[in-house]
Amino acid sequence: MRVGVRCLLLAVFLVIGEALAIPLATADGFVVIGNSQGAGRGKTLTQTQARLIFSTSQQAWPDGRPIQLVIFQPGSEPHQYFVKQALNLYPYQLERIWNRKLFSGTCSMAPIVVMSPKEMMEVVRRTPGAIGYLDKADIAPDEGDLTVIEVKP
Amino acid sequence: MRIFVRDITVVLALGLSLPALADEAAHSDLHLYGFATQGYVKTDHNNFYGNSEKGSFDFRELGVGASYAVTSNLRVAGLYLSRLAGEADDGRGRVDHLSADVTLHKDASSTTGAKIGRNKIPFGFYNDTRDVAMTRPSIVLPQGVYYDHSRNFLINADGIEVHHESWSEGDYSKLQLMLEQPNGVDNPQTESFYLGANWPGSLKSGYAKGARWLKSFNGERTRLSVFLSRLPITYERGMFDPLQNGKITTDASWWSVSQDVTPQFQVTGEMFLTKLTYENFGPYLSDRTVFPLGYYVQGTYFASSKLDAFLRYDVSYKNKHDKDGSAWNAATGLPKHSAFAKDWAVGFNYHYSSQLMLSAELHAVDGTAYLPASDNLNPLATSQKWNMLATQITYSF
Repeated sequence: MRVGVRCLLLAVFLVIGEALAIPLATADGFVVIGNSQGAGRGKTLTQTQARLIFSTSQQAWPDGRPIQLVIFQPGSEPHQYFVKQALNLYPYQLERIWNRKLFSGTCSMAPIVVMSPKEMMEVVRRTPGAIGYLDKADIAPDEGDLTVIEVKP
Repeated sequence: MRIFVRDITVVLALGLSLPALADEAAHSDLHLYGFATQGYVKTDHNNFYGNSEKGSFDFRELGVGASYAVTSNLRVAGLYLSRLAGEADDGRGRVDHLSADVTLHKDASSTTGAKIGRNKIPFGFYNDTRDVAMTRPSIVLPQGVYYDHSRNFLINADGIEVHHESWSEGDYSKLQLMLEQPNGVDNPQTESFYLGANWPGSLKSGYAKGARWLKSFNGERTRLSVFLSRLPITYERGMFDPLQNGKITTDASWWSVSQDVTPQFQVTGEMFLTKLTYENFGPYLSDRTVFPLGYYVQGTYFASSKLDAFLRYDVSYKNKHDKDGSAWNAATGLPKHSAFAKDWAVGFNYHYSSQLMLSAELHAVDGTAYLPASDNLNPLATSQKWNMLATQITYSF
């Protein structure tokens, strides 16, 4: 038992050390984007509404179209920044919510995972009901069916 | 054991091939997922998840699941699970859930549907994913509310669940109505829970009626859940059985609340309130009503993007009208301390990546009510006060 406790304490110190050494950067350049079929144009969301959408609890837009989440890989920096900045959650908190729905067989819609800003733009643009996020700098001038959604704190 | 090895092979094969499959599936309607968890438990007295007094690795959970949208109104989802937990669970593979979910109606603010097949029993915040490590707040769930020693009949049930979800302006609610037959009633573990021992006869479950209401406010910052159910069970006596054919009615309820006090600090409390009514068992077990009770309070600190930690106080009573176990001891000769358990636990989860999580926790326990009987064959040899260290590594895809 004593050896076990020592190992545990060592693990705690290592973990705390590493955890504190990786502060979450505060990127403020991310915006929520949506397909205008569903999200509509010139739309704003409160952070509370955004949380309900990204937790997949809200499953349809006001026009009745099903919501489709589009995200970067959960471990990627853009995803980490966005979830913390826009939703005020750590990514593992959001994943826990998704996993509870997925592993209980009540998942209504799994997120589409994209690899690049270009792919994010394309997928959101061609998928009615889609919602995703991008660094402002990556939004191409020709938005097409894309609409930028303002998230208010 | 052969089954177990085969399960590992399936999980590994799927795990290795999954990144490619997942990419292909990303834009389709098929989703594959799974997990593998290995634990280590060390206790100073008593056994939990194997021979933990010597240190036990006999805690392992493996699962693979799939979800397929057949049409926009029909989804089929299932999970195949293997769980090893000391002598209480042998690692044999089984269907954890498998159901067809039909959407009957949907509009801009709600959806209504029916799930037919083998469904999880959705009590509390965690029961429907209790064997999936990355959805649990801790390695060992609070035992006052989520029994492990008699968990078999609390896991899944075959039948129909009608559900209605609605949302507006940051609030969300879900109502589930169930008419289902629980699995895992006719086994020694459940018989010990209800009748104190494994008698010659057998238990048969009728159809249980259940209702669950889940409500969240303010973007899931406040969550409430209530689960009410009635489960009728009959006992058919066996050969040379001192008990008569009898009937047990379980009226169970779970009450749950969780509040984000700050973005980083969350308080969660859950309570399990039950009434067990015994009828017609004959002179050996006179007609009676027993009231088990359990509750816990937990504070969780989301320290960083890698780490969360918790402190919890968890209480179990076999009968709330006999909290110190005197009547239990007089009636059965078993130690008073096997009628209650008060468990202080502290621990953390370290999220190394979105797929890999390491966890560790310490428990200081007064009482033995939640010890698995199969890991502690002589209840008279158990110690009232004991400590436990549990660690776990889990990988998911």
